[in-house]
Amino acid sequence: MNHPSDSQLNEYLDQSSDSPTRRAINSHIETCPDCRRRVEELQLVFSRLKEVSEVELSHDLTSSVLARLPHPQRLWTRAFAAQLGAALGISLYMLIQAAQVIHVPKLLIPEFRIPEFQFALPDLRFADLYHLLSVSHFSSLIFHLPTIDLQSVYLPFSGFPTLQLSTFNMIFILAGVFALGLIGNAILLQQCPGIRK
Amino acid sequence: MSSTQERELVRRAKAGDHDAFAEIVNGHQQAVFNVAYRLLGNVADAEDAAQEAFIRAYQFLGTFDLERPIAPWLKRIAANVCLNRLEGQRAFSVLDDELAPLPDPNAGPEALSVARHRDERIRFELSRLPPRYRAVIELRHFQDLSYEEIASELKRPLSDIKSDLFRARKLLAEQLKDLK
Repeated sequence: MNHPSDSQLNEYLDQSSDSPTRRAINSHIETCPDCRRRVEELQLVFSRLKEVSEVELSHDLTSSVLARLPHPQRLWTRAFAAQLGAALGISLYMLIQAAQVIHVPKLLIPEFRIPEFQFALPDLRFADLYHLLSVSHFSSLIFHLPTIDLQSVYLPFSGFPTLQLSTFNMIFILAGVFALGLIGNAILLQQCPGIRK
Repeated sequence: MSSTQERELVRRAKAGDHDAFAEIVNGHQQAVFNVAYRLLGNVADAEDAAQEAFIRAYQFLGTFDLERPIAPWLKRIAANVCLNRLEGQRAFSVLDDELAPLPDPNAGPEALSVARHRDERIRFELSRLPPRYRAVIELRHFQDLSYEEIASELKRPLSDIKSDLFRARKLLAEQLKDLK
């Protein structure tokens, strides 16, 4: 064997070379003083590194580590529940407002061809909810805000009923979207490690 | 601590039990600190890195396999924390093959050879190695990782790891030649 390369010597010292190479290096260093010296020098490094003792810690790290640990995640904190409740309330109100102006049931229910659901149910449900909870009469009496004709703006094809959306309703819809955004953010923040409540 | 006890502690810590994690920190802080000390070379940085390693370990405890011992995992995290810190330093450059300068320009090998303890001297020479050499020495000699594991840990080609390891040993051999 020629003089072993650095890489071969490395693997030899780390006991990573295969048996034939190992045997070849063994017999080579018996006859080659230069390579024997190279091996001995490196072997000395191995034993020097084994001599390195552990250094004692000057103080216990436990308390400082614990102080920096993220607290356990609690999804249902009081603040989160209040935020979620408020957001759901706004969303529900917005939904009622939106249902009243868009008239979705009148358009879609006949196409389902399910006789028992064709008539009273949608009108009854939304009308009742609307009369109980709606303040849209405030919008016409007090605010007198302009109305957007959705058919002419967004739905120009024929056969679709006119959809009119007052700015007042639109504000509520946007508020609902905002509220849903708040819910989403609240959930994301709750799941973010390192945030303390 | 038996492996069953350790597994139970890790299981509780995984479930968010801080007391269980405190016991883990208490039992392994010495080893984790020493990894950081060998890599960073000073006590204050090493203590800070050790704390960061435990915090990172806590955050990733969910991914830890309960069937494996935790000590090597913690040491590897500590090494990674230190290597991330060292990466910001110029010494991780592939071109940098120089030993760090001596703290006292008048202190030659003679002065160093009278260090109070042999292991202080060895540690000192280790700390003068370029960080990428220090990293391979730490992972191979102190954490007993294979070449392949080191390459995967450091995200570097196997051939680089082998040559760095050899150069690091050669440099150390030169520096420690006078040590009796």
